[in-house]
Amino acid sequence: MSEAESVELREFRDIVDACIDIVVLVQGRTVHARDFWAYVAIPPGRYGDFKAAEASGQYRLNDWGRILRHGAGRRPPAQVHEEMARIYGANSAFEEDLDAILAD
Amino acid sequence: MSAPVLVRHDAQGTAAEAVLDVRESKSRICAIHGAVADFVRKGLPSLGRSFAQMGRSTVSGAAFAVTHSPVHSYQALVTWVKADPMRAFGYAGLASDVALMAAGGISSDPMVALSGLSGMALETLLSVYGERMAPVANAMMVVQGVSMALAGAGATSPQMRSVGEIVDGLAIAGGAVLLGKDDWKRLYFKRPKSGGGSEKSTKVSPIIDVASSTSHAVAVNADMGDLGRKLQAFSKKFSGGILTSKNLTAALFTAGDIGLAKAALWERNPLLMAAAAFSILSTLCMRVDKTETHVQSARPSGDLLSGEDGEDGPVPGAGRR
Repeated sequence: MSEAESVELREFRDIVDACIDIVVLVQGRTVHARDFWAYVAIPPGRYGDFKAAEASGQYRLNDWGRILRHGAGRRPPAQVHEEMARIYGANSAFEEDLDAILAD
Repeated sequence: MSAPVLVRHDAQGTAAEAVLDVRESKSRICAIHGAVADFVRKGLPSLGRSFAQMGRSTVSGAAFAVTHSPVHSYQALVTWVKADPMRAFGYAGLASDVALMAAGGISSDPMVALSGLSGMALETLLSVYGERMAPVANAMMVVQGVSMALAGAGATSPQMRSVGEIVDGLAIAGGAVLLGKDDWKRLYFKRPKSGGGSEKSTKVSPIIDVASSTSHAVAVNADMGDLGRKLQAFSKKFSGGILTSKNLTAALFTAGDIGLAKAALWERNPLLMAAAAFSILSTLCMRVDKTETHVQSARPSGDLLSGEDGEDGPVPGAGRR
C-alpha cells in the first residue's frame, strides 16, 4: 500500500534503530596494513549495508556504527571479551546458536 | 603481533578513525542490545500520568510494579522474563490494557476505551475469582477483540482503519477463540519451577531470547540482510505449520502486536505506542514460557499484586493474553 505504508515502515525502522543495536565483532586489517579488532554497535537498519560495504572491500568502520572498543591485533583480549559479555551480552557463538535454534 | 591497544571510544576520537579505515575484514554478530526495555520506558511517563488520574489501587499497584520492576536494561529484562515469565507476562498485559483504556479516554474513542476496560475487567475477575472464571475468559477476550476491531473500523484515520487496530482486535478475538478453558488455567495459574526451569530452557542462552524478541520488528522490515532473514525464519518457525491452536494463537498475537504498533505510529499516540510495547513484551513472555512448568491450584485473591516471587498463586494482569 503504498506510500503511507512505506512512510510508516521508515518510521518504524527509525524507532527500531533508535532502540536496538546489533553488536558486531569486526576483525581485519586497516589501510595501513595493521591488524585490528573492534566491537561495533550497528543500527539494524544499516546492518545490511554494512555487510555489503565489508564485502566490497575498503570502507571506514566509523561510518557504519558506534565503535564500542577496538585495538590492535587479531583478537580482542579476554578482559574486553568479558566486558562486552557483561555489558552487551556479547556471545562469540551468537550466530551459531541462532542457526542451531532455527535448525532445531 | 603487536600488543592490543585498548581505546575507549569517544565520539570524536581521532585515534579510532586512524585505526579503523579498513582494507579488509570479517565480522560476526555477537549480540543484539537495547530494544524492549528502552521502548517500554518511552511510554511510561504517559502511562504514569494515566495511572495517577485513574486512582485505582490495582492499576496504581500495577504501575508501581512495572516501573519498579528490574527492567532497567535489556539483559535485566531477559533475566526477569526467564526467571518468572508468567508474572512478567501478567504485568505487561495489564499495562497494555491500561494504556489502551487511557488512550481511548484521551482520544474520546469509546471502543478503544472499552477494549482496555474489558481487558482490565477480565484481569480483575480472574484475580478475584480465580480458576472459576476460566470458562468465561474466552468470551470476555472476544469482547475485547471485537471492540478493538470496531474501534479500528470506526477510526477517522484511513491508515489506521486499513490495518492497525482491526488487525489487533481480530487477532485478540481469534486468539481468545482458540484459547480453551485449560489454556486459560495454564496462562493464569501455572508458575515456573523454581531453580531455572527445564533442561530445554537452559540450552537457550539469554542472547537468543533477545534475538527472538526482535522478530516483531523484523517482520515489517524487509531490508535487514542475513540477520533479518534468520529472524523472519525464526518467527515463521515459531508459528509455522499452524497446526495447533497454540501456534496459531501465538501467530495471531504477533500479528496483533504489529498491527497495534502500526496504529500507534500512524496516530502518533504515545499511549497506543505503550500499549503496543507492553503487548509485545507480553508476547515475548509467552514465548519464553515454553519451558516445562507445572500447574498450581488456584488461590483466589482480591489483590492483583498478591503473591511474592516464587509463591504460587494468581499472576497479576494475565487476563489479556
